[in-house]
This record gives sequence, C-alpha cells and structure tokens, in this order.
Amino acid sequence: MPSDTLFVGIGSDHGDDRVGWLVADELVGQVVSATIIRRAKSPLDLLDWLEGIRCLAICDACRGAGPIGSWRRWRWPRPDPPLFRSSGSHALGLVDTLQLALRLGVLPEEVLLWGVEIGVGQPGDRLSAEVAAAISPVAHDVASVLRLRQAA
Amino acid sequence: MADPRTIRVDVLTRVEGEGALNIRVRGDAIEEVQLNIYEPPRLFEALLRGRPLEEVPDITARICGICPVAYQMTSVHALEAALGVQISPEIRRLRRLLYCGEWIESHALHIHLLHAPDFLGYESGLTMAADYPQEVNRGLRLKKHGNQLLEMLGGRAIHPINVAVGGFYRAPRRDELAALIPDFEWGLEAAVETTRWVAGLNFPDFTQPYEMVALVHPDEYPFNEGSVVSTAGTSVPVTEYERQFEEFHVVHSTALQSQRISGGASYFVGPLARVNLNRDRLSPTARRVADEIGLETPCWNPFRSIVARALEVVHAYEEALAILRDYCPFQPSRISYGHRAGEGCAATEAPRGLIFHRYVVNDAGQIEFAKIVPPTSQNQKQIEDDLRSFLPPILHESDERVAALCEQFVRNYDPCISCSTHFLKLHRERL
Repeated sequence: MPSDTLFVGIGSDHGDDRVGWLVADELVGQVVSATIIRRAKSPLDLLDWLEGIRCLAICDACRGAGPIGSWRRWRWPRPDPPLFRSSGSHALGLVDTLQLALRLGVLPEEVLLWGVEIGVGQPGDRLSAEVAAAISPVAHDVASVLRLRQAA
Repeated sequence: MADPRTIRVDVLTRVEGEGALNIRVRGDAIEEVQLNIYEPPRLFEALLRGRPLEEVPDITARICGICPVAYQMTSVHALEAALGVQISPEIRRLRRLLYCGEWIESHALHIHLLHAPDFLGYESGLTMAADYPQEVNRGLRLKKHGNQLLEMLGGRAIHPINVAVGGFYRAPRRDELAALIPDFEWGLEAAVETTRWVAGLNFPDFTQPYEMVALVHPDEYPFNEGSVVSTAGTSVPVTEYERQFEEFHVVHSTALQSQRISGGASYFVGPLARVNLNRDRLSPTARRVADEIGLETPCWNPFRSIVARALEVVHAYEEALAILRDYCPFQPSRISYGHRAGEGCAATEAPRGLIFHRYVVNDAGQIEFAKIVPPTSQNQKQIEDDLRSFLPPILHESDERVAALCEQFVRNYDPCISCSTHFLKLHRERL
C-alpha cells in the first residue's frame, strides 16, 4: 500500500544547517513504517513530492525559537514566519513554500514542522555540539508522532 | 511655493536585495527621484587583491546567488585574456550551456513569480498562484530545470564550483547531460507557452528614447563574447568599454551608478537591449515566436522586458537542447597555463544585462587589481531617469498608488541589488 506520509529533512552542507538532513538519516534507522523519508536542499523541492501525501512532516533549522540546539514542534498553519526565514527573493523559504502549496491546492491535509534552533554559521562550519545533541531527541519525537498517527 | 510631497517605498519588494525609493514632488515638478540602495557595500574588488587568480571564479560567484555564473564566466574570460589562454571549442560550448541554465532559472522565476503578478493585479506570486496554478507550476518547473543544469555542469545550483580558469575542473559524462534532455524538451514547449502568455499581458504605454547596450556577436546570440554595441550606434571591442562608460558614486546609494563618459547620460542593459540588438541571432523557435506574437523591434517600452525575458528562455532551452544532444566528452577539460604578469578584461551577458570585469595579475598569479561592473549598477541611473518621466502622468493618484506603480516600474529591470553593492569608494575629507 503506497505511503501517505512523507518526512522531509531540509538542509545544506553548511554547519548546523545540516540538522534537517541528519534528522532524516536518524529517522531511517528508526524504521517508521509506511513513511517516505527524503532530504531536500530547498523547500521548493517539497512541491515535487506531495502527490498522494496526506501527512507531511518537515524538519528544518530555524532562528528565534530559543537557545541553540533547542527544538520545537508545530502543527501548520503555525509557526510564525520569521522562524523559518526566506533566504531571498529568488528562493522561497519554507513558510512561503507551504503557502504556495496551499494556494496550488497540493498541501497535504496535515503538516507537522520541527524546527531546531541554530546559530549564525559560515560555509564549512562543523556541526555544533548543541545541535548535534538535538538530532536524536528530534528524530525520536518525529518517529513517535508518526507512529501514533499511523496507529490512530 | 507649494509644499513638497514626499513619496517613499521603504523596502522594494520582489527584487533581489535591499533598497528603497525616495521621490519628492513640488506641485507638478519632480524635485528628486532616488533609488536609495542601503544594502551594505560588500567590497569584493578589494577582497580579491592578493588572492590567487584561481580563486576568483569561486569568490566572485558569491557576489550573487541568482547569477553566480555571470560572475564566473566574466572573471574566467577576463583572466584568460590576461594570461593569453585560448579555450577549446568544447569548453566554449559548455560555458554557453552553463549560461543557458542560469538564464532559465533566473528569468523563469522573475517572469512567473516576481513580475507577472504586477500585470495581473496581484500583490505577489503567492497570491497569484491560486488563480494561475498552471502558470506558477510551469515557472517553478522551468526554474528547477535551470538549477538542475547548473548542478549537473557546475557542481552546485547556487555558487557552482566546477568553473575554472582555462575551462572546467571536470567535464560531464554524456549520460549525465543526456538525462536532462526529456525535461528540456518539455521546457522548450513550456517556454513558448510562457512567451505567448506574457505577450498577452496589458502593457502600459510608456516609451523612452533609450540608448540600449548589449554584446553583439556576428554568429550567435550573446553570452560570453561579442562587441559592445548600442542602439545609438556605438560598436567597440570590450577592451574599449571603460572609454565609453564610467562608474560613479552617489550619496544616496551604497551601489555605484554608471553613465556614458561623453555626456553623462544613462543607458539601458538587459534582455530588452539584447533582443533589440540581436533579434536575428535568437534561436529559430525564439525568432518564430517573436514574429508570431508581433514583437516590434526595436522596442522602447521597458514593461515589455518580460517578453524579452520569455523569448530568451525559449532561446536558452533550444540552444541547451542542441548542446545536450550533440555532447561528446572531451579532454582536457581545462587548458593549462602559466602565471605571468598581465591585464585582461571581458564582458558577458548576465540575466540582467551586460557585466564587465577587468583584472591585473602579477607573475606570481595573484590579483593586483579587480574591477567588476554588474548590470544592475549600470541600470540604476536609467531607472531614476525613467521614473522622472514615468511620474508626471500618475501624480494625481494617491501616494500609496504612486509608490506601488513606481515599485512595479523598478521590477521591469529585475534589479539585483546585492550585485550592485559590491564596492564603495571612500573619500576622506579633512576639515
């Protein structure tokens, strides 16, 4: 039976901005059945993967949610836009991408967001200890939420 | 004397970078029009001094995330001129392919999400998406193809890493490029649809007697090479660029502006200038569509820049397809060279218009001097001049409406403000 649950870790190669990818990698190891797990470089990548999806779960780096390494879970249409800021006029941020998906009629009925607070980084930075410590707890929370949803 | 009326747009939206618009009107007289760029100067030309010349393509690429290829291409051609390097026809062709990718991703997003909303009465591409889902999806898919090509050939979609002085660090395999063909075949048809769509938009009746400037090449639509030609009759080799145009600093902008050395007039670069000067060198499908939509050239209406951009997307797809289909792997991917003292310059055509670089290198292979002139810097004075002409017929509108119309006008130029703030001249006055 095709899966209707998609988890996307959004990230890049730069320092703490890898956190979304690393949570996705950890989630693979936790084997949440019937969940498609993907890595994305850009929020816009999501738009290619939404067909047939009823639950979209996303993890991305954010700013303004608390101390570095802290994390939060939101149910869309929250959180406030500044937490997942757009990177420029030619690159839609996560919130804009979800709003675009809504207007295009392709946004899944359920959207869950995990944001991990990161600091200001530079290309080539290593993952900070604080953010590294958040990966397992976040992956655990994602797996738990998705399992509970599938059991319901 | 009438009280002055001040109209200000604090933050220009749907443009790349940070800038504002200040307009002061007294009665019917336009006293002041300022494109106030306040993005901090980024000092790239100074930053390059002392660096190994091999780093220049990667450093200059970081001037912009939208048009990094423009900086890379111009820098490598200028440095190759300084070093006396002759690239192979295969390398030259791959560089054109890379530029196709950048034009596609930049133009597609600007057309569909940044500029079309203005003509259709929406405040953003997001609000437009609900009523035009097919068009928005098309634009996103076109942009994605451009990014995929940049990633395949450049190693990365943003700030490609495969461009080197002398060529590329790695030439792609045939199967890597062939994998893009189906998407690009779709993209060519989609680009034609896009052109037909934008050609049907309602364009304000506004023209100016511009001097439009672009590269012109005898055999091809310009990307990396050509003479500097203007609609006023100028035609000079790129080595003469600095005898024709100069940069200068204005108090109200952290970005330099450009003007004609003789007479101090503004001038216009970008897709409309390129189409006006090179229409007969567009690809066959692009020429056919230009005829079909009845585009009259030369066209002096900046609002029709969106049509020129769409035609260039058609051209880029068609040229890219030809290269993708014919590609055969080759060696060497990079022409070797030795360091020597020298000076070289080059101009290429960024998505937003002509871009010029000049470098002086020493015999240790280090940069001693760098000059970078982006297209948006060159258009700034023209934008201000345009607005002085655009304003009088709309001054009866509310301040809000005037501000909105002026902001829309600025978007005709698809300005990249971050590019234009690459340098600041410092004059110290001792009192």
